[in-house]
Amino acid sequence: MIETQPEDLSDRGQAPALVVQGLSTVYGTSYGHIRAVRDVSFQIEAGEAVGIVGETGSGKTAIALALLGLLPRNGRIVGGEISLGGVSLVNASTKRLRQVRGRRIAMVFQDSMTSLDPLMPIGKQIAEGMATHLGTSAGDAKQRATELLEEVGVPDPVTRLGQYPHQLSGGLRQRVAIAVAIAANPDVLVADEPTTALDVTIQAQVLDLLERERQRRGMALILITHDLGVVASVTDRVIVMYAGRVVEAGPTEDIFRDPRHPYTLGLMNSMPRLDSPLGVRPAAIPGSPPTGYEAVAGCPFAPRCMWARSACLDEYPPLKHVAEASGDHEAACLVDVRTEGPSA
Amino acid sequence: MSTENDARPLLEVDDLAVTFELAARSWRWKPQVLRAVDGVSFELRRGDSFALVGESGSGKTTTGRALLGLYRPARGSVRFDGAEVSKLKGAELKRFRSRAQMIFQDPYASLNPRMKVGAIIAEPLRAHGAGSARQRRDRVQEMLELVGLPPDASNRFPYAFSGGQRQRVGIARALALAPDFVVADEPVSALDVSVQAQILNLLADLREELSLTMLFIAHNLAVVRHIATRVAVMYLGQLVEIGSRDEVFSSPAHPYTRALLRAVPPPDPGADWSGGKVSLRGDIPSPVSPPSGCRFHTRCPYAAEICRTEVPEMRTFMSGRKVACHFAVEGRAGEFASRVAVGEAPDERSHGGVENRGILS
Repeated sequence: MIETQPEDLSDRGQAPALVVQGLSTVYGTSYGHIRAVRDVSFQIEAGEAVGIVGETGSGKTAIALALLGLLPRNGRIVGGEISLGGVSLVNASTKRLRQVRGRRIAMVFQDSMTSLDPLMPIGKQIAEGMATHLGTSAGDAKQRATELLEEVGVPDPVTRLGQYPHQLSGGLRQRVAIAVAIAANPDVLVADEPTTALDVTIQAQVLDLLERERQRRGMALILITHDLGVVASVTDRVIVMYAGRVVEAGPTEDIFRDPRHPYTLGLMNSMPRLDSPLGVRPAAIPGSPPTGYEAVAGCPFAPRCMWARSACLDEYPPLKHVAEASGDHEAACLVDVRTEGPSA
Repeated sequence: MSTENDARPLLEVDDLAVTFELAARSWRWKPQVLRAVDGVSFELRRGDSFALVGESGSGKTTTGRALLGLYRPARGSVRFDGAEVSKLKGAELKRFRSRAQMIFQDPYASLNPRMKVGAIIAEPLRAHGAGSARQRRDRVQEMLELVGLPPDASNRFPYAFSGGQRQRVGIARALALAPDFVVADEPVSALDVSVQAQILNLLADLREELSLTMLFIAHNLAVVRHIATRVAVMYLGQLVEIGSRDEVFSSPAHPYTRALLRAVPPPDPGADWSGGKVSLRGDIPSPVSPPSGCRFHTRCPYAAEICRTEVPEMRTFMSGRKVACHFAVEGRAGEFASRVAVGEAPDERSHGGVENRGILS
């Protein structure tokens, strides 16, 4: 498992970097079980940037945590398979997970104040991954850490190396968190709302950095966000989630130009935009997202859906290829929103 | 409610400054002073929907709170309907407080979890001794209907409601006393995307229906564009640009406003968004020791020598728009005088050459 530098990136071949098949997770709470992720399948090619879009409770963070074996104590995977470059991660031993985390798959969290260790100088946090996974010597690791800091755009890297997270601004901290995550050259980087806590001008810088690093390293990027603008600007493909399920997936272009699930369509229309005509109101989606406790037989979006009909309440519609679109655009809806009018 | 002289602005803010003393880290050190708001002037006309926009630390929330008399100004004045807010006392202060209300950002933190929704909405009425118990109950029902909540909501606790519904409760509470002026501090930023539009549309309707004067504090420019009639952009405790929504969004005159607008990734994969590459370098500096001259000069792609030494005055353009930049050119919004070329050349402008309009000469 342990490799040494120099890193050979050429073996990142044609096989998908990550395959998720039928993944389901459950959180136990004092109010009952929450089925955070329900039968989710997707596949990510090497070097691809995929966005997972959804609101609070849609299960997007639960997927990320499941991928890294980081579900909290009350959470567990109850079904499905996760395969990272051919290695199964479901039920993997702690030892196995430790070898994989940081090396093959790494994560950037929303809040860099809590994801970095407050008691460790940032240089050490960056070097840690290299020493553990690549067997880099202390001196080399320090050198590499300096280079990495420079690479992610932290000014004056030599001084910064010895500083602690609280001495850095939010934007710089997130850059450091990215440096920590990519230190051992992972195949897949999972970024969970990496820019949500940042101001827009800083967000733009960090998105640019993620994109640059992805291309430079040929790593796959899973970008989890609620912001459609972020998804549109960074990703090749999008997975839209609602109430723990994938409701639509496909190439970013297709999803934005031709959304086929009423929820995706609703999200696009409800979002206030800078480029819409002035005076046109965003069209709100009525109601609120489900909490996850309810047992839903049919489509979970049906109570808020303008197209809903009685069949929608009986059974969850399977994800299937949409008509007249490129091959891998899928939606889980009985209705064709292009031709059929709202039922209300 | 609207009173005597409608021509006079409802709220006049003149050279407002609010400072905070930071705890000294040692007895020998002098306490540091953080200038959260430093010389801000603007007016709210009756019926205005005025947005204060800026990044975290720009002082927008502090300004909003100072307008409501929650912070005492270190300098300058805030006049509400002609009366100096910080000098109000007794019955006058109480009257002011019933006329000026606030909607908070986080509907999970701003509602008492142990009070029923009915009691939450009735609380301002009780505090101001408005009506009998029965009248207050009626008023609560009226407010619930106004914000789109079911009548039986008054007997339930906040936990039973979703974020969007809770924000409706917060709005009902703020409007119960029929105020003239409402400060809404990031009213939708804690809500899910699909719910934000509901609350934005509700606020827009209520403003019209009740002819409220509103101050919106927001960081999300797209949200502001849908709700404000006038926009003020704040940076590091000062205003850099004030103008009508249409002007500010279609032809931003201050480089910071331009950068803010450019930094927002458009929800359109075909768009050629280069926000990350052209956006501002570095972070917002500390308000404890703001940069000299123009506070924005450390991040401004157009900064020249004068920007480092001289504080730009707030200049008023013919259209009424105000801009604090040495190089902003009237009628050429988004263009800057040509002597600016310092550091990186100002990028990408397609429409023709800009002559020097002699701002420096």
